[in-house]
Amino acid sequence: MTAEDLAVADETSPVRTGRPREPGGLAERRAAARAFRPRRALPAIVVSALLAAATGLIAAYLISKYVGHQVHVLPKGLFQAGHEFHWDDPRPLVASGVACALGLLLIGLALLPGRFRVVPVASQDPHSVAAMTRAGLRRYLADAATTVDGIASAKVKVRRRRVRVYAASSLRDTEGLAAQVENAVTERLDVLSPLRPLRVRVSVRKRRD
Amino acid sequence: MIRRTGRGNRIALLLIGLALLLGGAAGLLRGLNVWPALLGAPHALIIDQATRHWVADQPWFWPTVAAVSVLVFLLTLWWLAAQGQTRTLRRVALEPDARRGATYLPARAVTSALQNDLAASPYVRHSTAALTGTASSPRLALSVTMAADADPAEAVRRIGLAVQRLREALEDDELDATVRIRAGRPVH
Repeated sequence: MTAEDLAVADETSPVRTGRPREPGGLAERRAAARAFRPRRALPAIVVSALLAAATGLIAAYLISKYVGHQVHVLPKGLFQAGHEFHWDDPRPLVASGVACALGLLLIGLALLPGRFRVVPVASQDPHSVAAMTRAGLRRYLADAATTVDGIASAKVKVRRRRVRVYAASSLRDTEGLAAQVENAVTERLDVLSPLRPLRVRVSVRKRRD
Repeated sequence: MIRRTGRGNRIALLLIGLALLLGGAAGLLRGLNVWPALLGAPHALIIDQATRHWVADQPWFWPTVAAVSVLVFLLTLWWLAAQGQTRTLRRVALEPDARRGATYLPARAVTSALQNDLAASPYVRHSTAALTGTASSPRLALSVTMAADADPAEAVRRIGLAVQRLREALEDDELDATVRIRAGRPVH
């Protein structure tokens, strides 16, 4: 990650200034949400490019008409269609339906918070927000799981509210191992104190030799 | 829109989405004959004779359409350009009161001091810092890659201390910081 990437990522994070926040409180969660929420850059690029192309062509078509040198940049069927089709013909209906669906999609992209790429954690500082990458947290928690005796390897999935640990044991008797792994992982998680509490669920399977 | 691309993007997407939804819904409802009193008869041409005559009688119609499309074209170009904008500061103001002269510090001096500070910690393998915002009220964006064997809570504390030292150096107690922590791969 370069300094430029960082700056781009930070554009969305006007953390409210001047007001100290209580650690781990609602204000800190809000500040973190504001800082790490997806920017919707890809939809913005696609929509703005399409809109720019469409309006640019329309403008070029109309202006060239007044200048006196008509350029035919718009598809010819476009105006023809308006004179030929009725509102209740299938094609206008389908086009309207597609417009509705696209509109709903864009509204959803605008209003839904989107999936965080990172897991916000307590920053211990009223003017900072901190977050850990999912991959980093996965690795860190898998490491915690393997510290338990009898656990050979572990895979971790970090979801929105839950951490799922898949541990593999080479022991014959795996009873009680899951609870131990859960303790170890929860302990590490507590040290980091994610702003949104994560519940830990563990499943242990026997490794075939 | 440029300063807060995230919020700007969402607002713009919302407006365009609403326009598409309303237009599409109106067309759909008219075609399905849901509300003929308001929307008109379903079995009518999309551009009928009356509309054509009306448009032909208004000398301002096509010039207005051309002007509006030029305007929207420029706005969308601006929006598109804002996506690639990086707002890294080159310098920060040390003297908040402009009447008492201006003292500027290169942003790179600030960020490399912080990176050096963090590099002294055994928990931190690599860090990248950038200043954003404005020269008189900068914000810090920091990305830290931890060593594989690091204790993240301790690393967070260590990063907090480094940021605090930076605040003292800049005499800006309220410098906002956004910290991203990555975990390094274990070295085997």
